[in-house]
Amino acid sequence: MRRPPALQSIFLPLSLLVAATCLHADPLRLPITARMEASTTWAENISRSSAPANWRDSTRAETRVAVSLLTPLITGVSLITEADARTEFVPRYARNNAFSGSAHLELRWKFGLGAFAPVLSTQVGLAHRAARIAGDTGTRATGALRLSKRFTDAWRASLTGDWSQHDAAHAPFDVRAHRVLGSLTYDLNDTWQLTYGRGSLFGDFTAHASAAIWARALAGQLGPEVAKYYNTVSYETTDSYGPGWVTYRVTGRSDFWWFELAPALGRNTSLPLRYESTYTVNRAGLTYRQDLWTLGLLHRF
Amino acid sequence: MNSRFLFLLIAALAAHVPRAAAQGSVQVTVQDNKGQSVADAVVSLLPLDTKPILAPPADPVIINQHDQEFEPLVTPVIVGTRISFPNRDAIRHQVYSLSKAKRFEIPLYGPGVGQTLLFDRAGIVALGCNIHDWMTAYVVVLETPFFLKTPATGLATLTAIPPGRYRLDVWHARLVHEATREVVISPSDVAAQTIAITLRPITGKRRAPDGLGGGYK
Repeated sequence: MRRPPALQSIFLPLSLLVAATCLHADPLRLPITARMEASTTWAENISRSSAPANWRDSTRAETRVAVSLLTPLITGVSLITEADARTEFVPRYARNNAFSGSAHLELRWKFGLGAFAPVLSTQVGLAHRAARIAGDTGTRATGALRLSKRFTDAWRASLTGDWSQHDAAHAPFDVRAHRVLGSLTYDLNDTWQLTYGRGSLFGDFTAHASAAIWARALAGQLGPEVAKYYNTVSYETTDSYGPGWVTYRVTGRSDFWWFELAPALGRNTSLPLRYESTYTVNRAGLTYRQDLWTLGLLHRF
Repeated sequence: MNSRFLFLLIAALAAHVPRAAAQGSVQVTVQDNKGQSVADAVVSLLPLDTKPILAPPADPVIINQHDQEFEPLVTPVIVGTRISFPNRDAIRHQVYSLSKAKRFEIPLYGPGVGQTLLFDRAGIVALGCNIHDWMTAYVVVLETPFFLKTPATGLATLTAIPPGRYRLDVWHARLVHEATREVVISPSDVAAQTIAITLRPITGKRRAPDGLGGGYK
């Protein structure tokens, strides 16, 4: 399979081009809103490994630009069309770099007038992911249902159920999962915002192991249940976190929570700092934990 | 003889020319309880002894939507004034109010001239945009022609006020307690009033984008 071109040579300039277009959207009087996100994450156990010897820590940089158009349909119901482009860059483990472009359609019902009316939205989306690990390249379909409500000027809550299915070039990356998550947001004032969120993922996900650990797992040295399960899963040598590293697909559950402080830098810009912790258990009973610290910059045009 | 007659004629005519009644002024300084000047306060004088004559403007007052904000934030008007809500943005807005003094909703509209509405009931009308939660503005509908909005200096000078008793009211969007007092306007007099008001802390629906969110993927 032809190796995808280096991300920096194509997709980063493409993202910048989209952002530059958005910067000029106002003079063009286009009825769209645009949003730019850039973040850097320090991820502990970015390799999603259960064996401590395989834990790898690294930074991960992400950018996203999105443009959206709001179209009223009937009273209280709007259609939001959005397209975005996203890059993921892991400097220390560049094999995990990826670019994706996606389009979404969202139907939004606002039950009443004003900021305190509850909002129910349903969204479907389709994304194409181009990854340096060729097997991870493919198409992802998503669907979501979200209910949100503002209770006071300061307090808001939301509840989301979503689903995603990634049809990749290679079987280890074909994953299907659904999540249920909720969040509570508190605006101390115009500048400072706190958010707490919690949720769970159920379904497939990819994890990684070094060649040595993988061989031990298959041979039963990590327990018979692990060997029994791991000898049935799809896997592939991807060199994801080092030479000979294996990426494999398992089924399980991941519980996560996050806490975010997002000060506003201006009317259209915020600088969120987020801590997220996940605890994952796969079908074989193996667990791993990830801790993520993210600093982001968001701007709305 | 002719010049003396002319002088007497002019004097007689002048004696019958009705003189304009001498009018007073009120200089109102609005401060918060820390002594800081308060902008966007509406100072009004309601006559207590007579019913004022209200003459709303012929042309509608304009409240723009620009850069996803209402401009101006506070608009005082006389009962019977028409207000227009043109959208100066490229994106759509949906202006509404749930206030008793004027409940309305203008369906989503794009750039251009919005609807013109008649505000025919005294009171405070809080405006919002059903799409952009942070957009807020206020229309203060008054039953007196004597009013002003304070600038950054907090100083409003109301002039050409007929003598008499008045109720001086100060309104602000974050006012905690009613601020009202009786004043007496004397002819050709400039009364100075300093009013200290207690304001709630600034809260508002955040405009800056929400954070990144979270969730294992």
